[in-house]
Amino acid sequence: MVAESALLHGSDGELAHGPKLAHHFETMEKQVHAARFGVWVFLGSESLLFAALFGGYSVYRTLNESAFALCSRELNLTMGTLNTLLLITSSFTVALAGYFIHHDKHRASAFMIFLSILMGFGFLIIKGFEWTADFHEGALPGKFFHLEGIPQAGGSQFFSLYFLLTGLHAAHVIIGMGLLAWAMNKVIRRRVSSRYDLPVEVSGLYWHLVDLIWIFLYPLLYLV
Amino acid sequence: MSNATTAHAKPPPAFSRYVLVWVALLVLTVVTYSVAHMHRGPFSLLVAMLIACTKATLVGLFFMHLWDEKGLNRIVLLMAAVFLGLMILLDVSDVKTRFAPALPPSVEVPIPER
Repeated sequence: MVAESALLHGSDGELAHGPKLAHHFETMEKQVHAARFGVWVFLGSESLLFAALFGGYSVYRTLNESAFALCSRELNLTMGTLNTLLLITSSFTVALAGYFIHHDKHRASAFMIFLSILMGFGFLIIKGFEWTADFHEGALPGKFFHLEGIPQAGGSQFFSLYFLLTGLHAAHVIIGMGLLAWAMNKVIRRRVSSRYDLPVEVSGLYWHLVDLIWIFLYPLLYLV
Repeated sequence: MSNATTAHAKPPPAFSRYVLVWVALLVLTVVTYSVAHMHRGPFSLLVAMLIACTKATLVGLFFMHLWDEKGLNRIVLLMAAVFLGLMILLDVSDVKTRFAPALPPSVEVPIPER
Protein backbone atom coordinates (compact mmCIF):
# COMPACT_ATOMS: atom_id res chain seq x y z
CA MET A 1 0.00 0.00 0.00
CA VAL A 2 2.87 2.32 0.77
CA ALA A 3 4.46 1.43 -2.55
CA GLU A 4 1.24 2.14 -4.45
CA SER A 5 0.85 5.42 -2.64
CA ALA A 6 4.39 6.41 -3.60
CA LEU A 7 3.69 5.47 -7.22
CA LEU A 8 0.56 7.59 -7.27
CA HIS A 9 1.80 10.63 -5.47
CA GLY A 10 5.52 10.71 -6.08
CA SER A 11 8.11 10.51 -3.34
CA ASP A 12 7.25 13.91 -1.87
CA GLY A 13 3.51 13.25 -1.79
CA GLU A 14 2.86 15.42 -4.84
CA LEU A 15 2.56 14.81 -8.54
CA ALA A 16 5.53 15.38 -10.81
CA HIS A 17 3.36 17.92 -12.63
CA GLY A 18 -0.22 19.11 -12.47
CA PRO A 19 -1.85 20.68 -9.44
CA LYS A 20 -0.46 20.37 -5.95
CA LEU A 21 -2.37 18.61 -3.21
CA ALA A 22 -4.71 21.15 -1.64
CA HIS A 23 -4.54 21.20 2.16
CA HIS A 24 -8.21 20.26 2.59
CA PHE A 25 -7.74 16.91 0.82
CA GLU A 26 -6.21 13.93 2.58
CA THR A 27 -4.67 12.46 -0.55
CA MET A 28 -4.23 13.27 -4.23
CA GLU A 29 -6.57 10.36 -4.94
CA LYS A 30 -9.40 12.11 -3.08
CA GLN A 31 -8.61 15.42 -4.75
CA VAL A 32 -8.88 13.83 -8.21
CA HIS A 33 -12.06 12.04 -7.19
CA ALA A 34 -13.60 15.35 -6.09
CA ALA A 35 -12.55 16.99 -9.38
CA ARG A 36 -14.26 14.20 -11.29
CA PHE A 37 -17.38 14.59 -9.15
CA GLY A 38 -17.50 18.25 -10.20
CA VAL A 39 -17.32 17.21 -13.85
CA TRP A 40 -20.13 14.70 -13.38
CA VAL A 41 -22.35 17.36 -11.80
CA PHE A 42 -21.57 19.65 -14.74
CA LEU A 43 -22.43 16.88 -17.23
CA GLY A 44 -25.66 16.22 -15.33
CA SER A 45 -26.64 19.90 -15.61
CA GLU A 46 -25.69 19.85 -19.32
CA SER A 47 -28.09 16.99 -19.92
CA LEU A 48 -30.79 18.95 -18.09
CA LEU A 49 -30.20 21.84 -20.52
CA PHE A 50 -31.20 19.45 -23.29
CA ALA A 51 -34.00 18.06 -21.09
CA ALA A 52 -36.19 21.10 -21.76
CA LEU A 53 -35.98 20.45 -25.51
CA PHE A 54 -36.52 16.72 -25.07
CA GLY A 55 -39.59 17.49 -22.97
CA GLY A 56 -40.90 19.90 -25.61
CA TYR A 57 -40.31 17.26 -28.24
CA SER A 58 -42.32 14.64 -26.30
CA VAL A 59 -45.28 16.97 -25.83
CA TYR A 60 -45.44 18.18 -29.44
CA ARG A 61 -44.90 14.70 -30.81
CA THR A 62 -47.80 13.44 -28.68
CA LEU A 63 -49.96 16.20 -30.17
CA ASN A 64 -48.83 15.76 -33.80
CA GLU A 65 -47.78 12.14 -34.17
CA SER A 66 -48.43 11.76 -37.89
CA ALA A 67 -46.91 15.12 -38.87
CA PHE A 68 -43.76 14.28 -36.89
CA ALA A 69 -43.48 10.89 -38.60
CA LEU A 70 -43.83 12.52 -42.03
CA CYS A 71 -41.29 15.25 -41.24
CA SER A 72 -38.82 12.67 -39.96
CA ARG A 73 -38.95 11.01 -43.38
CA GLU A 74 -37.99 14.29 -45.04
CA LEU A 75 -34.61 14.17 -43.29
CA ASN A 76 -31.64 12.44 -44.88
CA LEU A 77 -31.44 9.15 -42.97
CA THR A 78 -28.15 8.11 -44.61
CA MET A 79 -26.39 11.33 -43.59
CA GLY A 80 -27.81 11.06 -40.07
CA THR A 81 -26.57 7.48 -39.75
CA LEU A 82 -23.16 8.46 -41.14
CA ASN A 83 -22.94 11.18 -38.49
CA THR A 84 -23.90 8.69 -35.78
CA LEU A 85 -21.12 6.33 -36.88
CA LEU A 86 -18.65 9.26 -36.97
CA LEU A 87 -19.48 10.44 -33.45
CA ILE A 88 -19.41 6.90 -32.02
CA THR A 89 -16.00 6.31 -33.60
CA SER A 90 -14.70 9.66 -32.31
CA SER A 91 -15.86 8.66 -28.83
CA PHE A 92 -13.94 5.42 -29.27
CA THR A 93 -10.73 7.27 -30.25
CA VAL A 94 -11.12 9.65 -27.29
CA ALA A 95 -11.44 6.63 -24.99
CA LEU A 96 -8.27 5.21 -26.60
CA ALA A 97 -6.47 8.53 -26.01
CA GLY A 98 -7.21 8.02 -22.31
CA TYR A 99 -5.98 4.44 -22.53
CA PHE A 100 -2.70 5.49 -24.19
CA ILE A 101 -2.01 8.31 -21.74
CA HIS A 102 -2.59 5.79 -18.98
CA HIS A 103 0.29 3.79 -20.48
CA ASP A 104 2.41 6.94 -21.05
CA LYS A 105 2.21 6.66 -24.86
CA HIS A 106 2.01 10.39 -25.53
CA ARG A 107 2.32 10.29 -29.32
CA ALA A 108 -0.43 7.68 -29.73
CA SER A 109 -2.66 9.58 -27.31
CA ALA A 110 -2.21 12.91 -29.11
CA PHE A 111 -2.88 11.22 -32.46
CA MET A 112 -6.13 9.70 -31.14
CA ILE A 113 -7.31 13.11 -29.91
CA PHE A 114 -6.36 14.60 -33.29
CA LEU A 115 -8.45 11.94 -35.07
CA SER A 116 -11.41 12.75 -32.80
CA ILE A 117 -11.18 16.46 -33.62
CA LEU A 118 -11.07 15.59 -37.34
CA MET A 119 -14.20 13.48 -36.94
CA GLY A 120 -15.84 16.38 -35.13
CA PHE A 121 -15.12 18.53 -38.21
CA GLY A 122 -16.53 15.79 -40.43
CA PHE A 123 -19.69 15.70 -38.34
CA LEU A 124 -20.17 19.47 -38.67
CA ILE A 125 -19.56 19.41 -42.44
CA ILE A 126 -22.17 16.67 -42.97
CA LYS A 127 -24.58 18.57 -40.70
CA GLY A 128 -23.93 21.70 -42.78
CA PHE A 129 -24.86 19.87 -45.99
CA GLU A 130 -28.04 18.59 -44.32
CA TRP A 131 -29.05 22.04 -43.12
CA THR A 132 -28.43 23.50 -46.60
CA ALA A 133 -30.71 20.86 -48.12
CA ASP A 134 -33.36 21.59 -45.46
CA PHE A 135 -33.22 25.31 -46.26
CA HIS A 136 -33.76 24.64 -49.96
CA GLU A 137 -36.65 22.23 -49.37
CA GLY A 138 -38.47 24.63 -47.04
CA ALA A 139 -38.05 22.30 -44.06
CA LEU A 140 -37.91 25.30 -41.76
CA PRO A 141 -39.58 26.46 -38.55
CA GLY A 142 -42.55 28.80 -38.27
CA LYS A 143 -43.79 30.81 -41.22
CA PHE A 144 -40.85 29.69 -43.40
CA PHE A 145 -42.14 26.11 -43.39
CA HIS A 146 -43.42 25.06 -46.82
CA LEU A 147 -43.12 21.31 -47.32
CA GLU A 148 -45.67 19.69 -49.65
CA GLY A 149 -48.32 17.51 -48.01
CA ILE A 150 -47.34 18.12 -44.38
CA PRO A 151 -49.59 20.28 -42.20
CA GLN A 152 -48.01 23.50 -41.00
CA ALA A 153 -49.16 22.88 -37.40
CA GLY A 154 -47.00 19.86 -36.63
CA GLY A 155 -44.44 20.38 -39.37
CA SER A 156 -43.18 23.76 -38.28
CA GLN A 157 -42.99 22.50 -34.67
CA PHE A 158 -40.92 19.50 -35.73
CA PHE A 159 -38.46 21.69 -37.59
CA SER A 160 -38.29 24.26 -34.77
CA LEU A 161 -37.26 21.42 -32.46
CA TYR A 162 -34.99 19.93 -35.12
CA PHE A 163 -33.00 23.13 -35.57
CA LEU A 164 -32.91 23.89 -31.82
CA LEU A 165 -31.75 20.38 -30.91
CA THR A 166 -29.21 19.96 -33.72
CA GLY A 167 -28.03 23.57 -33.35
CA LEU A 168 -27.49 23.29 -29.59
CA HIS A 169 -25.79 19.95 -30.16
CA ALA A 170 -23.53 21.41 -32.89
CA ALA A 171 -22.53 24.18 -30.45
CA HIS A 172 -21.55 21.45 -27.99
CA VAL A 173 -19.54 19.68 -30.72
CA ILE A 174 -17.60 22.92 -31.34
CA ILE A 175 -16.95 23.44 -27.59
CA GLY A 176 -15.95 19.78 -27.28
CA MET A 177 -13.47 20.15 -30.15
CA GLY A 178 -11.96 23.16 -28.36
CA LEU A 179 -11.60 21.13 -25.14
CA LEU A 180 -10.02 18.26 -27.05
CA ALA A 181 -7.54 20.66 -28.70
CA TRP A 182 -6.64 21.98 -25.22
CA ALA A 183 -6.09 18.41 -23.98
CA MET A 184 -4.06 17.51 -27.08
CA ASN A 185 -1.80 20.51 -26.45
CA LYS A 186 -1.23 19.26 -22.88
CA VAL A 187 -0.42 15.78 -24.17
CA ILE A 188 2.04 17.07 -26.78
CA ARG A 189 3.75 19.29 -24.20
CA ARG A 190 3.83 16.31 -21.82
CA ARG A 191 1.95 18.15 -19.10
CA VAL A 192 -0.08 14.99 -18.51
CA SER A 193 0.97 11.41 -17.88
CA SER A 194 -0.30 8.20 -16.32
CA ARG A 195 0.10 9.93 -12.94
CA TYR A 196 -2.02 12.92 -13.86
CA ASP A 197 -4.44 12.52 -16.77
CA LEU A 198 -7.32 14.74 -15.65
CA PRO A 199 -7.30 17.12 -18.70
CA VAL A 200 -7.58 14.16 -21.09
CA GLU A 201 -10.21 12.47 -18.96
CA VAL A 202 -12.34 15.57 -18.41
CA SER A 203 -12.39 16.71 -22.04
CA GLY A 204 -13.02 13.07 -22.98
CA LEU A 205 -16.02 12.91 -20.64
CA TYR A 206 -17.45 16.05 -22.23
CA TRP A 207 -16.98 14.57 -25.70
CA HIS A 208 -18.69 11.35 -24.63
CA LEU A 209 -21.66 13.38 -23.37
CA VAL A 210 -21.89 15.08 -26.77
CA ASP A 211 -21.95 11.58 -28.28
CA LEU A 212 -24.58 10.41 -25.75
CA ILE A 213 -26.90 13.28 -26.65
CA TRP A 214 -26.54 12.52 -30.36
CA ILE A 215 -27.32 8.84 -29.70
CA PHE A 216 -30.77 10.01 -28.50
CA LEU A 217 -31.22 12.74 -31.12
CA TYR A 218 -30.67 10.24 -33.94
CA PRO A 219 -33.81 8.11 -33.30
CA LEU A 220 -35.91 11.11 -32.16
CA LEU A 221 -35.26 13.03 -35.37
CA TYR A 222 -34.45 10.44 -38.05
CA LEU A 223 -36.24 7.24 -37.01
CA VAL A 224 -39.75 8.31 -36.02
CA MET B 1 -6.44 7.03 6.09
CA SER B 2 -6.35 3.30 5.56
CA ASN B 3 -8.84 3.35 2.68
CA ALA B 4 -7.02 6.12 0.82
CA THR B 5 -5.39 3.82 -1.71
CA THR B 6 -8.29 1.48 -2.44
CA ALA B 7 -9.25 3.55 -5.48
CA HIS B 8 -7.00 1.60 -7.81
CA ALA B 9 -8.16 -1.79 -6.60
CA LYS B 10 -9.50 -2.50 -10.09
CA PRO B 11 -6.91 -2.82 -12.88
CA PRO B 12 -7.12 -0.21 -15.67
CA PRO B 13 -9.42 -1.26 -18.51
CA ALA B 14 -7.95 -3.39 -21.26
CA PHE B 15 -7.58 -2.25 -24.87
CA SER B 16 -9.82 -5.07 -26.10
CA ARG B 17 -12.71 -3.80 -23.97
CA TYR B 18 -12.78 -0.49 -25.84
CA VAL B 19 -12.68 -2.27 -29.21
CA LEU B 20 -15.52 -4.63 -28.22
CA VAL B 21 -17.71 -1.74 -27.05
CA TRP B 22 -16.99 0.20 -30.24
CA VAL B 23 -17.91 -2.78 -32.45
CA ALA B 24 -21.11 -3.32 -30.42
CA LEU B 25 -22.05 0.35 -30.90
CA LEU B 26 -21.44 0.16 -34.67
CA VAL B 27 -23.52 -3.04 -34.95
CA LEU B 28 -26.40 -1.51 -32.98
CA THR B 29 -26.34 1.60 -35.20
CA VAL B 30 -26.43 -0.51 -38.37
CA VAL B 31 -29.28 -2.61 -36.91
CA THR B 32 -31.39 0.43 -36.05
CA TYR B 33 -30.70 1.92 -39.51
CA SER B 34 -31.69 -1.28 -41.34
CA VAL B 35 -34.84 -1.68 -39.25
CA ALA B 36 -35.87 1.89 -40.09
CA HIS B 37 -35.16 1.22 -43.78
CA MET B 38 -37.23 -1.95 -43.95
CA HIS B 39 -40.30 -0.97 -42.02
CA ARG B 40 -41.63 1.99 -40.11
CA GLY B 41 -44.73 1.64 -38.00
CA PRO B 42 -46.16 2.87 -34.72
CA PHE B 43 -43.51 1.00 -32.71
CA SER B 44 -40.48 2.15 -34.74
CA LEU B 45 -39.61 4.97 -32.37
CA LEU B 46 -39.98 2.73 -29.31
CA VAL B 47 -37.62 0.11 -30.76
CA ALA B 48 -35.16 2.79 -31.91
CA MET B 49 -35.21 4.40 -28.43
CA LEU B 50 -34.58 1.04 -26.74
CA ILE B 51 -31.54 0.52 -28.98
CA ALA B 52 -30.42 4.09 -28.21
CA CYS B 53 -30.71 3.40 -24.46
CA THR B 54 -28.55 0.30 -24.87
CA LYS B 55 -25.94 2.32 -26.80
CA ALA B 56 -26.00 5.11 -24.20
CA THR B 57 -25.50 2.56 -21.42
CA LEU B 58 -22.48 1.10 -23.23
CA VAL B 59 -20.94 4.55 -23.75
CA GLY B 60 -21.61 5.57 -20.13
CA LEU B 61 -20.31 2.38 -18.54
CA PHE B 62 -17.23 1.70 -20.63
CA PHE B 63 -16.17 4.89 -22.47
CA MET B 64 -17.01 7.20 -19.55
CA HIS B 65 -15.73 4.55 -17.12
CA LEU B 66 -18.80 4.53 -14.89
CA TRP B 67 -18.14 0.79 -14.57
CA ASP B 68 -14.84 1.53 -12.78
CA GLU B 69 -15.95 4.74 -11.06
CA LYS B 70 -16.74 4.60 -7.39
CA GLY B 71 -18.87 6.35 -4.81
CA LEU B 72 -21.21 9.18 -5.56
CA ASN B 73 -19.76 9.82 -9.03
CA ARG B 74 -21.60 6.78 -10.39
CA ILE B 75 -25.09 8.08 -9.77
CA VAL B 76 -24.95 11.75 -10.84
CA LEU B 77 -25.67 11.19 -14.53
CA LEU B 78 -28.13 8.43 -13.69
CA MET B 79 -30.11 10.85 -11.49
CA ALA B 80 -30.22 13.40 -14.33
CA ALA B 81 -31.58 10.65 -16.61
CA VAL B 82 -34.15 9.56 -13.99
CA PHE B 83 -35.50 13.09 -13.56
CA LEU B 84 -35.58 13.64 -17.33
CA GLY B 85 -37.59 10.42 -17.66
CA LEU B 86 -39.94 11.54 -14.88
CA MET B 87 -40.49 14.92 -16.51
CA ILE B 88 -41.27 13.39 -19.92
CA LEU B 89 -43.59 10.80 -18.34
CA LEU B 90 -45.58 13.47 -16.48
CA ASP B 91 -45.69 15.84 -19.48
CA VAL B 92 -46.92 13.16 -21.86
CA SER B 93 -49.47 11.71 -19.42
CA ASP B 94 -50.83 15.24 -18.94
CA VAL B 95 -51.27 15.85 -22.67
CA LYS B 96 -52.65 12.34 -23.30
CA THR B 97 -55.36 12.59 -20.64
CA ARG B 98 -56.61 16.09 -21.41
CA PHE B 99 -60.18 16.94 -22.39
CA ALA B 100 -59.96 17.27 -26.21
CA PRO B 101 -61.01 20.95 -26.55
CA ALA B 102 -58.21 21.83 -24.08
CA LEU B 103 -55.64 20.71 -26.62
CA PRO B 104 -54.21 22.93 -29.37
CA PRO B 105 -55.61 22.06 -32.80
CA SER B 106 -53.61 19.48 -34.72
CA VAL B 107 -54.16 17.89 -38.11
CA GLU B 108 -53.96 14.14 -38.56
CA VAL B 109 -52.50 13.05 -41.89
CA PRO B 110 -52.21 9.52 -43.24
CA ILE B 111 -48.67 8.12 -43.06
CA PRO B 112 -47.65 6.11 -46.12
CA GLU B 113 -46.23 2.65 -45.36
CA ARG B 114 -42.75 1.96 -46.56
